[in-house]
Amino acid sequence: MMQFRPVELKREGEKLLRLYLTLEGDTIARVRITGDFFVYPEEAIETIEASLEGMKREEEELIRRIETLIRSRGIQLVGISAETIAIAVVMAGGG
Amino acid sequence: MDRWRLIVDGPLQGSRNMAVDYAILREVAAGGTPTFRLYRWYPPAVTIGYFQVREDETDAVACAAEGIPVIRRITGGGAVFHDHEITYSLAVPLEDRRVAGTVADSYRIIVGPLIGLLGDMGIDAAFRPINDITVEGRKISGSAQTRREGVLLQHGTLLLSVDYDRMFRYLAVPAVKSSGRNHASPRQAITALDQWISDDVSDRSFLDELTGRMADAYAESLGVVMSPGGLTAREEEQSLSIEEELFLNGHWNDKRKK
Repeated sequence: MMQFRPVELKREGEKLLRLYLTLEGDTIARVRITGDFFVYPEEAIETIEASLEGMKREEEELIRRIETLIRSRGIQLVGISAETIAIAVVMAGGG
Repeated sequence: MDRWRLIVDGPLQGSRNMAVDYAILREVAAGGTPTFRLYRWYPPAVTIGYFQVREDETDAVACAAEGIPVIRRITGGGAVFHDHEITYSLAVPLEDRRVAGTVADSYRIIVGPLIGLLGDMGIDAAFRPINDITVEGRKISGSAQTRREGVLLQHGTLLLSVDYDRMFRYLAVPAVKSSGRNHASPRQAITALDQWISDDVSDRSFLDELTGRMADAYAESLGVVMSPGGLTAREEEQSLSIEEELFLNGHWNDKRKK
């Protein structure tokens, strides 16, 4: 298990994302998505985090996974996006 | 015209303030009257957003040494040092067409009356999406909204004066955020009412007048009548258990810790 230093990412028009990543080999073991953004319902952040566990750090795949979840569960992201989360996951692992 | 409840509270402890807002949300969810509340903070406190980590956002040593509690809100958004400010909260059913709609729209609508009031005071305030009010590009008010149990709860600040030294002793400012807005220093990023008007913002009669004007601004702009009132017995009870279970509880406050 390897826990990386958090990545801070502030993209235009969005809030600050600070993402913590733990990898097991090249697989995501744990993600913590923190920052001053908004997610509705708030508890869905844990659903999003859990959905990334076991995945590889491939940006397109991560975006698709999060976007599918957002649509199927009616989750709203404000000040953060699937793309930003995916980019941060790749950055955090040194991509 | 619809009648909403107006609650004006004096300075309260941070955990209490957050618990009262949540208890009101639950009361509205159970069919209670939509409520507009105005309140203050004593002793000063720091709140962080639902998705934030206490140790990332604050200097835990400085906060502990100076008796500043750090409380995680039920709303997203950023860390705030609550000291000399007036805070509003609004709890209405999500189906209320005056304020609901998309999250982005409702932020704009709900801070509207506050921007209007500042304008009436001669202050050229503007909405800065997603959730701030600025004066000449400096933040004077921030808001945060949650939607749960069929209710929209939004609370937000209006800074009366700001002690920058204390604020930045307690709050950590992420390098990426402060540089992102091209502000040389936090002093240039944040402002307060006392920098724009000549009134004494600590004066009791000024505060009474300002809270009255805030309530009037919301009533007028949203087309409702505000009826002064207090918490119901059920809300009082709920607020005590919520305060205990959440805002005084390390497990809640550190929930997002990595």
